[in-house]
Amino acid sequence: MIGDIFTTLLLNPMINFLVLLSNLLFGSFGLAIIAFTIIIRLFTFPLTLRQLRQTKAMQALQPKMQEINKKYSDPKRRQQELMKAYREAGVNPLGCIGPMLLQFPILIALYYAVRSSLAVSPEALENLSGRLYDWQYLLGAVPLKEHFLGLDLRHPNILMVFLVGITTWAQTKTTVTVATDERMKAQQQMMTWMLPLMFAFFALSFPSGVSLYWVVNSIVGIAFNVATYGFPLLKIEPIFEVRPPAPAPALAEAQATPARTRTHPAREARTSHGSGTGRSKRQNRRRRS
Amino acid sequence: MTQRRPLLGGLLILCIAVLAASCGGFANPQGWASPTIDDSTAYIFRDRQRLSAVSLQDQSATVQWEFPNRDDRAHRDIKIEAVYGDPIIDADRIYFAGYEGEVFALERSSGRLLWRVTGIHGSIAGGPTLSDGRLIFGTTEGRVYAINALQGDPAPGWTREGVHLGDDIWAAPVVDNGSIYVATMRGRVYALRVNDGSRVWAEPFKAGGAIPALTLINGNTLFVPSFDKRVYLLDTATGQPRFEGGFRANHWVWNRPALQGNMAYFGDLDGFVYALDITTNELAWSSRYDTKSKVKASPVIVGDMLVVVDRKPEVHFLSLADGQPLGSTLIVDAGTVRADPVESGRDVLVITTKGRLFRVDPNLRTASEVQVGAMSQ
Repeated sequence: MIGDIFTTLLLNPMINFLVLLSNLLFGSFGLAIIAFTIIIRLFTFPLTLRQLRQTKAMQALQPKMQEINKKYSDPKRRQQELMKAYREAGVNPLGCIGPMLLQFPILIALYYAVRSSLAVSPEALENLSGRLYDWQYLLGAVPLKEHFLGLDLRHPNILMVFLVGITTWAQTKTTVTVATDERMKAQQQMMTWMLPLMFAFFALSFPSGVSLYWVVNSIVGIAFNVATYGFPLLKIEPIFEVRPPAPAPALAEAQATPARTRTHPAREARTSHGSGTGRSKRQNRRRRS
Repeated sequence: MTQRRPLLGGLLILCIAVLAASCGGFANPQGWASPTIDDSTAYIFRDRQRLSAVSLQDQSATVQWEFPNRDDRAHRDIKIEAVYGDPIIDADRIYFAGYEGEVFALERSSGRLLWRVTGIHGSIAGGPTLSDGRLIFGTTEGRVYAINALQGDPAPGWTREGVHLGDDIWAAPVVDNGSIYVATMRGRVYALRVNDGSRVWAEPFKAGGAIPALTLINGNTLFVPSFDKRVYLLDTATGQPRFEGGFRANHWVWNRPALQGNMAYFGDLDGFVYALDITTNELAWSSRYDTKSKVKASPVIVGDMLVVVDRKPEVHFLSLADGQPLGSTLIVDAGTVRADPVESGRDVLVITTKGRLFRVDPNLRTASEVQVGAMSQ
């Protein structure tokens, strides 16, 4: 049932779009993968932006969280205080996970769309026939050309394995992370290396068309990260400002930390939820009721 | 926030379910070689990597030999990926080609390896064609090879590199009257000279979509199904279509037609079966079942009946005269059917993707499994 919904609403439209793009882009499936990944990432950008916002907000709260961690030794009390701080600052600690989860099925569908369209065997091509819409422009376009810049997109390629590793590493390096203690920092440090190695390992068995999708996806992710957070190492400033949700007035003074100094004071009074008091929508609803 | 936890948990479960549901949907090469029958022996692929010679009885069969033989040390380095073309029997030999790009010649009585050709560029998705002591085949890298069936070396006038056409070749070539006809997945049909691979037609025929199969009918006409949902009938002498625009089907046609008189019978991947008059390009009848299951395997004519096996897999018995359904029977829990069924006496033999063999009786409208016993010592 879930599989059918996923196939009908996400996978099949993506496959058809991919085949359409390939036909439009001079029959090049490699170009189609690149264009397709960029289009999908732009399409899901509002979700990405929301996720980046929440991460930024969490980062701004870090000093306060560290303070609470130091102050309260009782885990239950510490948890309560942390929750209170989140609530007052209008931050949902799981808020960055929600948009990520919503993107997850889209990314899975994208991965499967690339693999299905590649039709790595005669059976796969026969199966693809059932996924294509009854439009001659699409039906006549397959099998897609599997070669791109000297790569056979159906088979793994060692160059793509390296590129997957490097771009995944670059993406994790440009991602802002939130760590409340040393242990978490160490974990995040480890993930900076583990993720690229893991994906490079997967790429050893992926068709290089899928790896190409992953590389482009990572490059777009890097571009979003740099545009959002800047990249101090190369002295790149953020292109658009991502404002964390403003804290509740009672905490505003306590949170005047260096992490917030980049936030524009005039805009600080507004919240991302549209309320001028720094409260979340739910807080406002509760007050009204 | 506690209210959101169930929502996020639900989303996570949904994502995992989606991932699990969509996994396993990719088809690795499995092959769809049909059984080749010779008297009471059938040569079949019971799994995608092994050719078995089985002696047929009524509802059972005994394995005579298998290739590669697990017990033979000389066969240990042989790894067949899948086989799409039917095995070819010639005198005391049997030939077949693996998708991984290898061609094998075996002794028919024992399965002993006589020669093996490796180093082919690309995969062999259509199988070889035997003509005048030459085995001719195309590859997915767009090369056509002709090898000497006796020893496996290049045929006279041909090189080890073959002839490079550039477009993927999935259909087994057709050889007739000194010419090789090759169809490509870029929608072209070429005619080459058997002697040296040079071109016969000045220009190849161009269809609007890939051409996955090619069949010679009536001695001078090529049956050319294309992914543009059309079937073209080409004049072998000129490469020109006998009827402009060809015949339009409802979906891709990916099988060989069954022929009787002027009629060609074939199915499409939308579940339709057609009876086409090849002298007029007019449809005599078309038929579709309720299941709308794809018809990948070629139909078989038995008497005045057309036997069609779809991908469900269900065996349908149709009247040859008007396509009226005369009955059907399901093949249960045995995989699907992509390989062409073959006539064996009054019956039809069907092999499934799980390598199980079924004997279809058109008179009784039944399909019963042939139990294949262990190798005879």
